[in-house]
Amino acid sequence: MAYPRTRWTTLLATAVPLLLAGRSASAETISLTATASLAFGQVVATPASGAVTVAPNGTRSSSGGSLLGGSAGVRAAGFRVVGNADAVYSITLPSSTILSSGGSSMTVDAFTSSPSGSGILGPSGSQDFAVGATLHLGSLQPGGAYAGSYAVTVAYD
Amino acid sequence: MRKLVVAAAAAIVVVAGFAAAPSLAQTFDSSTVNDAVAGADVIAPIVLTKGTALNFGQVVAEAVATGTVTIGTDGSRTNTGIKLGATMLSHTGDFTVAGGPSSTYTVTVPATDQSITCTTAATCNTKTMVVNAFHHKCAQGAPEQDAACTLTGGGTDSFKVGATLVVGTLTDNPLGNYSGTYAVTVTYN
Repeated sequence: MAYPRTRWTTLLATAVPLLLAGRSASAETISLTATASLAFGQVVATPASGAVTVAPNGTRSSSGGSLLGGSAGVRAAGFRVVGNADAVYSITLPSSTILSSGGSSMTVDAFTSSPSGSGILGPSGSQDFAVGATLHLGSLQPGGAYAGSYAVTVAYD
Repeated sequence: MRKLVVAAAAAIVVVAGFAAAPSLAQTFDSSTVNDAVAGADVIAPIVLTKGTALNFGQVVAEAVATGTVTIGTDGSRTNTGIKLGATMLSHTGDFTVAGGPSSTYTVTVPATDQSITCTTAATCNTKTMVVNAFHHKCAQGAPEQDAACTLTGGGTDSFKVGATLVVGTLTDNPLGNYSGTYAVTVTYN
């Protein structure tokens, strides 16, 4: 009876690491954290409507009747992705969102990211990406501090 | 056989323990931040309003000598070559600015020679004098000629402009009142 006993024990001892190895290889975990808010800075309301764009690299530009005010605090949004080393992930940005102040609102759209569309986690399993967007001002947009929120999703393909 | 049962039971416990770990950590193949923040400050256009005009006061033109009169941004009046007359309305050029709270802005004063023309036709006809070396100083602690002036939290500021008047001989600049205009611009930085 001694022979089969040993065999069973060996079999079980081998099964445990195999099972664990299988688990860790199939675990796909990814997490996204916002590290910086998107800020358009000061924009000047004029009689003509216009737009102000902050690019993912943080540069700001205007079009139409919008004028740029003080640039203090202007920045692109920042996000950090943590997941499996060398994994490819997709970035999903909103089509638009609303910023509001009191009873007034403005639309933000044309969200872009860098890297665009998808990214790849490095050997450390993390990557930062930046997001920019375009703010639309109406004619004589009422003054105020406007704020809003939007959703960003990352996923393994 | 009893030994075998014990070993198998122990092994199963171990397997269950490790299997539970991934399920506690859970498996996420996507992650969403729903409350990413975006913000913008909409401010009024910057508005420049002129106050008291730049004035060099009374200056004594002489037969041979020429000279200059300078108004500092502190309102001081200094001279070279010629004598000063009465202070009279001697004054800096004063301006007020209104715009976005705590915004920084740039003042641009003429960098080239401007001229003022005699307005007392009977005495000096259309004689002119040059005004140059325009400079400015903002109220909010900015150094002289600093490009970055700052509006207060209430969105206001003011600045003073000084310059130098170049006075010719009495022939070039007969007695009379001379006046002219110059352009000053403010822009958000």
